[in-house]
Amino acid sequence: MFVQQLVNGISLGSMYALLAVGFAIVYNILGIVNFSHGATIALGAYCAYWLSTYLRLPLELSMVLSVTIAGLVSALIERITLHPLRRKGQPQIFFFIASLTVFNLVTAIIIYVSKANITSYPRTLIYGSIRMANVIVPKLDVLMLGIAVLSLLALSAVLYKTKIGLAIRCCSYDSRAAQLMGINPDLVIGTTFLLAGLLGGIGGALLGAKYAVYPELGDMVYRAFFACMVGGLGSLTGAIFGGLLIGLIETISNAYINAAISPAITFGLLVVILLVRPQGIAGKLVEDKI
Amino acid sequence: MLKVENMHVSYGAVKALHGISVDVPAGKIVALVGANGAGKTSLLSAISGLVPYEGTVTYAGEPLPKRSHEIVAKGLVHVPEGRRIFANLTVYENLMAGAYTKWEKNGIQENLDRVYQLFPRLKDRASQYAGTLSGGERQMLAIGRALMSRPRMLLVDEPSLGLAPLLVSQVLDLIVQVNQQGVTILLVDQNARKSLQIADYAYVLQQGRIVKEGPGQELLNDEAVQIAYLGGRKKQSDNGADPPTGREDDC
Repeated sequence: MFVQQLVNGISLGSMYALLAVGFAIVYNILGIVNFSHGATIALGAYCAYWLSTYLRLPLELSMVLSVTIAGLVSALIERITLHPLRRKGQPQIFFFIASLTVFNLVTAIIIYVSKANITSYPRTLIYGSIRMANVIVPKLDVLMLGIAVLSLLALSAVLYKTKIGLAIRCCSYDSRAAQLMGINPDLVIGTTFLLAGLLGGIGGALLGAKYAVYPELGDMVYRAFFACMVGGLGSLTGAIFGGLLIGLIETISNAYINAAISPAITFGLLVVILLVRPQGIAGKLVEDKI
Repeated sequence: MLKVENMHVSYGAVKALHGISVDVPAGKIVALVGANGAGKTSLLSAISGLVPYEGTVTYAGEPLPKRSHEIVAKGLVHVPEGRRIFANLTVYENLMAGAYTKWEKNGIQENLDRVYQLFPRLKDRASQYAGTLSGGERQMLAIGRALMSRPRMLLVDEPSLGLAPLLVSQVLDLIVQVNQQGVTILLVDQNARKSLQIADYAYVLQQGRIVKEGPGQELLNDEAVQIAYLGGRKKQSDNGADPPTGREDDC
């Protein structure tokens, strides 16, 4: 029983980790907490639902298309809202407000279009479960974990093995110095939002499969935010760790205490962690020596 | 090669440059000398697109683009002062970042070899994080990184800042070496004496204006410049006031 909860927790946590990493790469580049990430999560779920239900595309194909759409929408959001603010040199609080507004706007549109219904995908995906000894693991959980690991590996390949990845890491550290290398910050920021949107879309599409497709799915962005805070804002490993931790706490308190109080326990524990270690678990030390 | 005409820069209500004109001929080293806050770094930052300005800048006979990455693509590269290396990347990755605008496989290797030849220390430390380098090594990395884009001209900002006296000479000698490979240099350094020694031509900045200009050697021997920026004359002075010694840069 416990092992089973552990597996569930890790699998759920791996989804939160994906969302958190998407959140963190944008934070690293612009230094803003990007709540518009929530819009891409919700769109990741809804586009897959719409494509598979109304266009009757296979669910797998719908999900791939939906993730692509989420990535593009994320880059588009950056282009039409944050980019103009950046050009005018507005203070960061404006970015924060803009991204929160976009998140609420997209959620409102989804509520209108979906008539606020809670729905679910056509039951064609691998539902059902695998049984090993006396541990029963839903196939979907295995799939989620596998996709999360592959996505994170792919992301790290982009960041560490490609030209644009190098540029992203340079801009994350010092965007003015990066410009002096001939790096175009607009391109780098756009690409970062694209990557974040892809991660958000994957998370949204799979969480939609695990739970249901509902307009407030985008609120998962708060879990991503907390995962980043707990892991240490700006640290990608920290974000992964924070995501796994939240998934585990949530699943275990859900199973052993009470589903209704599980969010309170989760966030309560996170507050305690932040009180003890305000810089987060993997909190960065000062690295620049004078 | 680079011609700045009537450049004005302000930060909000504070004016940093009041109509500066500077001419940097191809293949030469031109130095800017002046106290802290005279506007030297503002001038470099404006040329490289980090700070908006009024006035005209022509580079290789054409108007210079205004955005940093376009300026770098033209072969005009700003070497920011040493601490602006990417401490989170390895030395090798820092150099690769410098090669961003010249990302062809063969070219990169060739440039890398050239930089390693000039700075063998960087080769030894290639896989270390740049944050672990000493001050002198960071400066070598900043220059090496700029050379990775095969620049035609470098704007070098305070290369000797914070370095031990022995290293100051070494770093400035390296700049002469880079220049001898055909790279035009516009140099700002707190060590006025040494930069005037290596400069073909120099400008003295004071509160955002050019107050004097001339060949480096001529300014070295100029009495006013000596008193203001070189710690006074070594000979006895008429008024008996002893100029501060030991620190040549301040006044």
